[in-house]
Amino acid sequence: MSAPAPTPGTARRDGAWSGRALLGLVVAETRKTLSTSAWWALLVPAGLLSLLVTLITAEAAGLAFTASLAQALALGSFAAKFAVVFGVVSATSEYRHRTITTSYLTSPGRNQLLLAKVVVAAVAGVGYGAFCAVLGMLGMLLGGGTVGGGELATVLEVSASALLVFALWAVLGVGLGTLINNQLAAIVGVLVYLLLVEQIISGLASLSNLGRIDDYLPGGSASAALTGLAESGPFGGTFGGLVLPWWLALLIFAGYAAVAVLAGAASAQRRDVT
Amino acid sequence: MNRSGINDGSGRIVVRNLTKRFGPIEAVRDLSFTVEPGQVTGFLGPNGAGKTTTLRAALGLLTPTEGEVTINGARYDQLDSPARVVGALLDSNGFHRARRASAHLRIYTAAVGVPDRRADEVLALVGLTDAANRKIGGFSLGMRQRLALATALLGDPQVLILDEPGSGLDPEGVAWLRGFLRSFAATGRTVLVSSHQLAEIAQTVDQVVIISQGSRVFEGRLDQLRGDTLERVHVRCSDPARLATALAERGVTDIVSTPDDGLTITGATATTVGDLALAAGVAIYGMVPERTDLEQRFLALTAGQFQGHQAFGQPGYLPVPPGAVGVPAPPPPANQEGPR
Repeated sequence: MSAPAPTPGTARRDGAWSGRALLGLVVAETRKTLSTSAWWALLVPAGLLSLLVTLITAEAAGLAFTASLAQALALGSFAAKFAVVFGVVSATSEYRHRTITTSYLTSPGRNQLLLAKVVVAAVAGVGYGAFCAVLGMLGMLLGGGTVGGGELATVLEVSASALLVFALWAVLGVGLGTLINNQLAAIVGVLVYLLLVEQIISGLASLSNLGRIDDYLPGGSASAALTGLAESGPFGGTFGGLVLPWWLALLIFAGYAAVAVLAGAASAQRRDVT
Repeated sequence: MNRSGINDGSGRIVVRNLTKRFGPIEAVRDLSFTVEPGQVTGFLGPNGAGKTTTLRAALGLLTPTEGEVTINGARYDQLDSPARVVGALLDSNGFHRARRASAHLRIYTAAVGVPDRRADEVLALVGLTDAANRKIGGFSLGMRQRLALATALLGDPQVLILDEPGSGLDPEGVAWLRGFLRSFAATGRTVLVSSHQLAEIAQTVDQVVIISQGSRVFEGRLDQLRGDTLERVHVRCSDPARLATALAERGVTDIVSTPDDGLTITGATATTVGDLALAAGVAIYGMVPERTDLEQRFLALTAGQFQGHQAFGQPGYLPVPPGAVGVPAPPPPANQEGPR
């Protein structure tokens, strides 16, 4: 029996991309999400924080902030962090609990599984955005703020944009989580970046010849997609100083989310699951 | 179900020149073997021999450095509905501890594309119906093994691959698993089951593949592994020298004298030795036939796994049977520990 020459290992290739298989994976991802407590354990503080921020701004700084700017601030600078953490958790819990083996074995391919996660995270992100927007408006009312006439329309515009921003944050989290795998490292990493590193980068840039680049950075573009819609009001300029229109900021942020997902896909395709 | 032309439906697993390196560590080296449907094939080797690496490569979880594994003629990642072709039990810890057993299974019924009642069917099959609504975190190791098997069976697969399924099962569970695997294979389907203990699967398997240090050292039927071993007799007699001479005249020369004035004779049956002793006028005080058992064969074949080998058995008197496809164990490399 003459043994054939060893064939070099071949790169993996995904199986079928049928709509039915994808729908099954989306249902599976939905069940994964709903059968553990992470989704509401992150949603509740996100909503409460939105309520608290708008309540405080309405009560204490009613003059400085318009209602729409308070809403943009509560959603963009505070609650949105929970959406990205949700996305990271939905991807990394598979590695943390070693369910990734079974998930890969029951999927026609790794990209199909990632796509299903992205779809479910996007839908959950919209849900997060809606919940936080409602609680944000509730906070304004509780704080004694008045939202009348044209102001209400602007608040609703900010809230609508928040649905997309939150969805993109959750999707970006899935991409990052798939890239990094380690749950704690991914969560700490993304929060340290958003709360610290990005501030340092934009601070340094504003001192250099680059000037203001906030709106081009991931966290900054996501915020600009909300604050760009808000009425700046008498003192709002401090938060705005906007370079880009809201829709362009949203597009830039969508680009970051897409890059994160593609990077996650590339690393997942190569990684050995031991 | 599988529209793909690649899936030939044979139920055959073919490992072809599989090599897997993790950095400097060579976990599997140029490994080839075939697993046929309709029988249970045991995949044996000491811990770290490369069993898990081979099985994970077969399931598309690891990318081989060289070679490939096909199931039904296709690599795992080429199968359209892989879980309907192959069921795998790899890890008894692959669960989210906060989920209930039924919720865990309903995730994968959706992913595989089978009706949700299939979850209840497999729970009943492995005897976990009563635990369906309990959180997996409270399960014993044996219960998790059974839930892992239930998960593997969701897609009613044609091929079953199990990595150390017996660990954590109580004797009753082991007996049940044995019967289950035999009846599964009896329907013409394929079973590949790994173990580091021959005794654990000796009663279950028809065919065995034994690996050591990532290379195959035996592939064949279990009775081939057992059958060709030479018989050995220990004799205490009145005149060992005379008996030895008589034996030597008959061509039996593998004789070792023992401290108790006895002889250990390899290559002759007790009957032959008794007849010769009578003819030579040597009185026999005691005679113990020793038949090398499967465990000794297994240990001898895989002895190279450990530094300072030949600690187990005496490989010298255990040649690889001529009927079996045997490969001598290679010298131990610097690193013999594969990743688990």
